[in-house]
Amino acid sequence: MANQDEEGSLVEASRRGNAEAFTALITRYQKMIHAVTFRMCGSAADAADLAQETFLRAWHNIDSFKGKARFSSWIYRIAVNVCLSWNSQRQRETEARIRYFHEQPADGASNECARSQIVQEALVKLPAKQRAAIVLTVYEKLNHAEAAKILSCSETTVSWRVFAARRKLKRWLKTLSVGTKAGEQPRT
Amino acid sequence: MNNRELDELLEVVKPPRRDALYWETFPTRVQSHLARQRPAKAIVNGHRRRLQLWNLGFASIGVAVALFFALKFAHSTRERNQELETLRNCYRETADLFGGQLKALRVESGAFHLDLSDKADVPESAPLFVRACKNSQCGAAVTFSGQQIELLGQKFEVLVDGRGGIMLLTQHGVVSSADGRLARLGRLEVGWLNERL
Repeated sequence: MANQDEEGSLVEASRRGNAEAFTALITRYQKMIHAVTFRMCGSAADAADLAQETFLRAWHNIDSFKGKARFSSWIYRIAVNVCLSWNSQRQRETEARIRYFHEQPADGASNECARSQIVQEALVKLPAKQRAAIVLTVYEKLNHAEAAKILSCSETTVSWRVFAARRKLKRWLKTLSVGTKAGEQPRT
Repeated sequence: MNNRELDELLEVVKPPRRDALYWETFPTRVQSHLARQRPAKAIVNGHRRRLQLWNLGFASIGVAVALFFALKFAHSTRERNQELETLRNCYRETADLFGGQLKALRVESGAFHLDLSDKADVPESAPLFVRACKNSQCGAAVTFSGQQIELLGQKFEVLVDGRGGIMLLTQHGVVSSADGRLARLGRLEVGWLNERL
């Protein structure tokens, strides 16, 4: 509760133009937003740009945050919308480029890296709205009702998107689950 | 692969590690961007009064337009309710005649069409209605969960979940109603036929 009160004060101060208060909010949510944007776009560099864009939009629209929902839900929504806009531009490119930024040591963690890259590629292949539903429910551990508020759709729609996304991911990733070589690409 | 196994596989994807310096400087980078954008606000303030007068003008036009559409909507709602009442009556009469074969009953441009299965293999379930409008034409249908229908050249699939929620799948998106009440998306509607409208 004290945490929420403190956050409420930071939001109120940010609304009045207090840059330090907004910096504190960025510090609080930057890792969470980077995680969401990375899973939505699959690229570390793009994830950083999208995270930055999320906070810029949050600052410009802070007056529209009425305090009825949690600040985290509000900023999740901004991040997802930023990623969905990015995604619609990216679809014009002929080839999806996945740049996986890692600093893994070269001593045997490479298999894990390959598996991670295959799973990330499968995630990025999902339609954007299905990917958003999976990111919010599986990675961010939100329930369908919370995800529905963030995605501005009904809970049934979220359930459907999660169902459809899981079906595709299971088909594409089944070779990984039975221990087949990690170098194989998911089939469409 | 079950859902738990899939979730374990998905958890393999971790966001890239970034060093402490990145996290320390990220808020500063955001603030630098904001600082570069701030001078634009001073120019906007200087035009605020003129903007307020424009806003008043647009608001008045908005009210007039809203009134026009409200009257138009009231008329089209009456028409729509009559259409659905006719569909209900028609359904009652045909349901008994084609027990287990009726996939859909459609009305388009004033004409009724029956979509029948060759065999009596249509599962028994509560009837749903779908209404779609395109340009100035509207069509409606009575159908059942799991059926695919075509209205005004558009294809739809209707699904009902275990909790009474209805989903209408179209090539453009999903219209859904978690509790089974009437749901609308633009010019599409779906609901239980026997609910009061």
